[in-house]
Amino acid sequence: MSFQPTNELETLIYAGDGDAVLALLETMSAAERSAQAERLGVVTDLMRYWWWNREVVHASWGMLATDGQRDAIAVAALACLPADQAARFRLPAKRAVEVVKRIRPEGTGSLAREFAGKGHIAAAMQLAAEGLSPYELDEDGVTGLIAMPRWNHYTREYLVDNRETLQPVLLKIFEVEGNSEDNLAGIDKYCKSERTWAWQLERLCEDGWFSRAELLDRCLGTLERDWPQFRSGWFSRFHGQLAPTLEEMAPNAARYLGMLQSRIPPTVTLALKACAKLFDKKQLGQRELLEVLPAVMLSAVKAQITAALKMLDSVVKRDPASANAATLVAIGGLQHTDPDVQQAIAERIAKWGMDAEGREALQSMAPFVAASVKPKLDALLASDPAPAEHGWQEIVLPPRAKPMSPLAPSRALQVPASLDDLVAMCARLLEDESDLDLFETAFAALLRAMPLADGDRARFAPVLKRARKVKMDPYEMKWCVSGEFARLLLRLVAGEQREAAHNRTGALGVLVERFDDASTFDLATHRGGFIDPAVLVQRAKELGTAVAQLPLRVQVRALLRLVPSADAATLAAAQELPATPFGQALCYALGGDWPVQPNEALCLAACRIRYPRSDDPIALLAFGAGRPDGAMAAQVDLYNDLVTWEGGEFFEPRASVVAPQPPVDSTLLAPYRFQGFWNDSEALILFGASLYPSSHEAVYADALPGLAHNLQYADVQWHHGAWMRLLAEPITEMTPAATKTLALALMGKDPGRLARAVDAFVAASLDGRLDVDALGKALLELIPLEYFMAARLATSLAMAAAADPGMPPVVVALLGRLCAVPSGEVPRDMAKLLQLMQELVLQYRLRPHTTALADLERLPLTGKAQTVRRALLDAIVTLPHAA
Amino acid sequence: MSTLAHAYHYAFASGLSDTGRPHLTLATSNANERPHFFEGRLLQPRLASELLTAVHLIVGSRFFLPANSLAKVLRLADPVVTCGEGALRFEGFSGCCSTYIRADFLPGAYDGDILGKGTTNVDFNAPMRAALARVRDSEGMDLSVGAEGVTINAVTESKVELPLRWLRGMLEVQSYQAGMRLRHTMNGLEALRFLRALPRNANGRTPLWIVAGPMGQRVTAQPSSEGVRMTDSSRLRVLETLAPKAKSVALYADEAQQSSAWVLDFGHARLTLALSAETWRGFSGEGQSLRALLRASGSPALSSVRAQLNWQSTLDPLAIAASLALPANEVTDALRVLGATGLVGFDVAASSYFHRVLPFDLALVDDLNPRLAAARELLEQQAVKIISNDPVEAQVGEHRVREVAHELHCTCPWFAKYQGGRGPCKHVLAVEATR
Repeated sequence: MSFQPTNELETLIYAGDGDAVLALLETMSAAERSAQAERLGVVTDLMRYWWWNREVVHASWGMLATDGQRDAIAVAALACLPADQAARFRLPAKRAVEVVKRIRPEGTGSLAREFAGKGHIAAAMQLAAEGLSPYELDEDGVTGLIAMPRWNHYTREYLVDNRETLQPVLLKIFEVEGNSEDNLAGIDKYCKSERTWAWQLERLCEDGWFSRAELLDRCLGTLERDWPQFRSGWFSRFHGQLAPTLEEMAPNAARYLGMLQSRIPPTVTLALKACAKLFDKKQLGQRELLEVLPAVMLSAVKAQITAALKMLDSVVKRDPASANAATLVAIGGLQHTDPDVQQAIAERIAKWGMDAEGREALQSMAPFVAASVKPKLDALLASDPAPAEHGWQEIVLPPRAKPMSPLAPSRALQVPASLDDLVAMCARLLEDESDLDLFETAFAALLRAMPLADGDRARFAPVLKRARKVKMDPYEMKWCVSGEFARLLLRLVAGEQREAAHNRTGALGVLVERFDDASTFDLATHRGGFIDPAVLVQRAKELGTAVAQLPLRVQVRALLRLVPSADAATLAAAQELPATPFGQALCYALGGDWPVQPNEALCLAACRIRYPRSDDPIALLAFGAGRPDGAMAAQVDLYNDLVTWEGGEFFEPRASVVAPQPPVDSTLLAPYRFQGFWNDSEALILFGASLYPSSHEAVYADALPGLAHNLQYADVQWHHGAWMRLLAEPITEMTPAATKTLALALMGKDPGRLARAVDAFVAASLDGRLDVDALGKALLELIPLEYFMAARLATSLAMAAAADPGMPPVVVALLGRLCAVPSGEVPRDMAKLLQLMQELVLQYRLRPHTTALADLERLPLTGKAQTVRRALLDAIVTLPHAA
Repeated sequence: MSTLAHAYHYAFASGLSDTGRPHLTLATSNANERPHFFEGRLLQPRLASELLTAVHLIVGSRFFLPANSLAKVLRLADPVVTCGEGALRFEGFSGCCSTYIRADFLPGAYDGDILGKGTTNVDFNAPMRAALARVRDSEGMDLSVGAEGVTINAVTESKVELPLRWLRGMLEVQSYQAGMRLRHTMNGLEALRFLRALPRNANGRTPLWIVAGPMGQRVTAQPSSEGVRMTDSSRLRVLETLAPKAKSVALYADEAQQSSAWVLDFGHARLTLALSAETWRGFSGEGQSLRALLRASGSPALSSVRAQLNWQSTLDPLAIAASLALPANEVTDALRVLGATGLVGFDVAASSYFHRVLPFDLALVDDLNPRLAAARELLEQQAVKIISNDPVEAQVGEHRVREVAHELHCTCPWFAKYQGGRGPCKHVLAVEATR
């Protein structure tokens, strides 16, 4: 049903007669106008005044709302509504002034500010100019003006309609930086049409609002302020759009020169182009240029140094006497790490020559010159190259070694020395859940301290008070371990039973079970969750047949935490145990006979300890092969799964080991860990890893697709750090899955996680756990899966090479291994890896393996990669072998 | 009270006039006087411009924006200039309270007259900085800090509300610097390469450690007692343009790795950049200064040492102790207290305090050190019950303070969380005060 006016005002609004509306409202008192406010709101809604699409007929209005009707209702709103509401209505500035002059509505004093706050600067300024409402254009107002194109699709019309008001102030948009939402760069970037501010300003210039010289002056003025790069980038681009002629640029030569010293790279690039033009046309002096170019030679941007070198070429060409001065300037560019830049500089120096000052400067830069450029530098200095004391050295890798024993004395968990130490430990664990070994230690100490005497219980008072306040977030996976520990503390020490705040399964569920079981049987004796077999045998002996009364999941957890052992004495002790299912399983785990009455959960746990990396043939016969880390040892790899959906197809990285079918419960703990077990909490990942510490394959089943998926994404996954912590541990065996996890992590984006990955790489290499060849193979396997980022890998390998004197050979060997990439799979940015190889080979005089050199020779390379390969192979050929 | 109202009174805007020889005139702030500290010329104009620009950049920076904060950068305190015995110092503090910067111009950096000694705010503005970007050594640059002939009527007053957190940080950073020790040195280009190799990602939550490697400094995620802990390396970007010009770059850190400082030495000028442990927290109460504040209550040494202050650019505790016939440790404590109350600053490169008076009315602020105030309250309530003296054990309210390996530990959540890394908790302070 269409709109039916209920009074004269509404009739006039519906008739679209704004002048009549104004005349009517003039006859009303302020109170009568205010009384119209509520109904006006209703009419506004019925008209759908705020609807974004003005071409839609709304049934509530019964017709397409006309411009007259919009004007009429806006006039009525301005007259009747409070200022903050009235300012939302879009009246042209002149119309608003007319209404205010005739009506003087209440709240006029703040009306201009309200209009400004809503972006209607013209109305605000005109009201102020007429003395009707105070307003002075400030930074907020200019920011509002900058933001206008976001919501006003008729910005051009608005500007033109209000030329008289806005022309004197519009260029203030060059002076106000704005904020993170509203700034020229952001507004134009997300502008959906061509009508960006850059477009608007060009049109206004054509209309005669401003001269080009004025726009250029303002633009340069802003660039000189060195605003943050994103915001100042707009001005660089606007300058490019303005495309000033030489005549327009010449008066600003000093400013362009000054901009060469800007901190903002795009500004420097703009200035370089301008100065090159100006110098070419003799609008810029050589002396001034030579004075400022040293700042450019310190740039991090290769293209800027190259542009500066070209300018120096022009200088020397025009004035050969300036060659020494040009050389001195060019030498500063040797600070750049790119060998190509250094090579280009060395070539200039060779061409231009140098005086004593230049020689001294060049000498001082010698430590910063890349190994591949060093011979050229030596030639320039006419110095003898450094004596090749050892010629080439064959690559000697750190000796391979088994992982450290989990039972090393240094890894034994310490018992708190006193109850006060335990209290302090508990207090710490409520605030910091990063150390899972500390949780284990505290858990063990608490269980052994029970029951507490009253005096001892009182010592826990401050900790219990805090425990009551710990809030875990099982959805964001925050404070889960501390939260459950708090619950445990309250139960054990204070007798307070608190229900779990969640019904989670997986790692968190097992943590809850563990704390609920509160059993000393599966307590770790060593870091990482390991139990010394001799200690477990002793625990079983103390329990005797009562071990069978323990919950099955406790018995399973205890078995899975064993350190794999072939110790005959321990087995002999185990064989003395009563013949319970646990006792038999324990014997089997330690090398004894298959149980007479095999319990599936216990036997599958035992066989994982007995056969850490391989399948158990007896268990396979007994229980089948259906579960990963059951009778069959899980061996995880990464593959791409093609997923089809209505939008198309995409590849999803997945682990090769699937969850057990049908699903299992936590008594089959090892297979259970492949069943949606993991989550985004570093502490819970480490806890989950500690449940079966002699194999992390289930961890890698989550890590591999997680890391692959995150390679290209900008969001940081903080919990990935848990995987790196595990890899860095000296007890972690570098299985193929572990090695591939490391390979992916070395190409990560987040600096924190990358640093951890590099640390893990260095640690595993130096302690002999890592097979460099296997790492190379893992990296090569990632290429066809498209999880290979050569540039990032080059960066992390460079970091690793700088970490320890033992690492350069490892990195060179790895790079040599990468040369075995199949011909059709040479990755993008291979040149960066080869360049790193070249620098390390030359710097440390390491001779790559013959196979690697042969692989390198046959690679189908082009461009830069080919050039680097040639230089590297030539260098190796020319130098002597090791003495 | 969460903020302190502070007013600037500038008679004009600082600016660089470049008609003829460039002349930088810096407007100083004072309601009643017209501080005029210096007239002369800077001997390395380009370097000086870059140092002043660096100060301005940090003052206008917020490296961390809490979720509920305004998007726009709020104006906080303008930089502070101190003119003492020959040294001109410009100090600034970032809006997020995580970064402190100071540019020192030593006597060899200028040729001119020290007309007055003192400390005041100085106006730095965007047009001035834009003009400084154009300065070249060949043109020279004169400098006026303050100006003659300014009439009172010309003064413009503008007010800001300084968050107490900001004020506290500005004070505490001096105490942290006093506790730092030198960890690494490198030359300017080594520093430049190292800085450029640092992660550009400003979201770094994982602390990294700067340690010595076989080819110079490197970063690792492994904690190192000899390394320097760092988060958010974007705070160091301001050093990139300056590092190549430095004769040396030194890196300092305190023992608890709660702060670090980079000092660029240019010969006659220095730049000090001090960073808090994380960008989302500033420099909270440093242990030694809190202890000194507690001990110094009513101490005659404090007033005696304060009376010795006369805009010295170096305060030697041993010399002061000798002249006042006081134990050196009492003088050191007194200097710590004066640092924590804004009356002296600390120059980590010179390893000494210097006299300067921050131009804020700190007398209005009761709770500059909340932990100290809380410790005093515990003492007033006689909440400390000493159980034993060797080893120390005490009950403070519901919490227990114990001596473990010569350090006092507490069962309170603060200590449990930070394990002493952020200074003593109020309970430990109260126990220390009792003994």
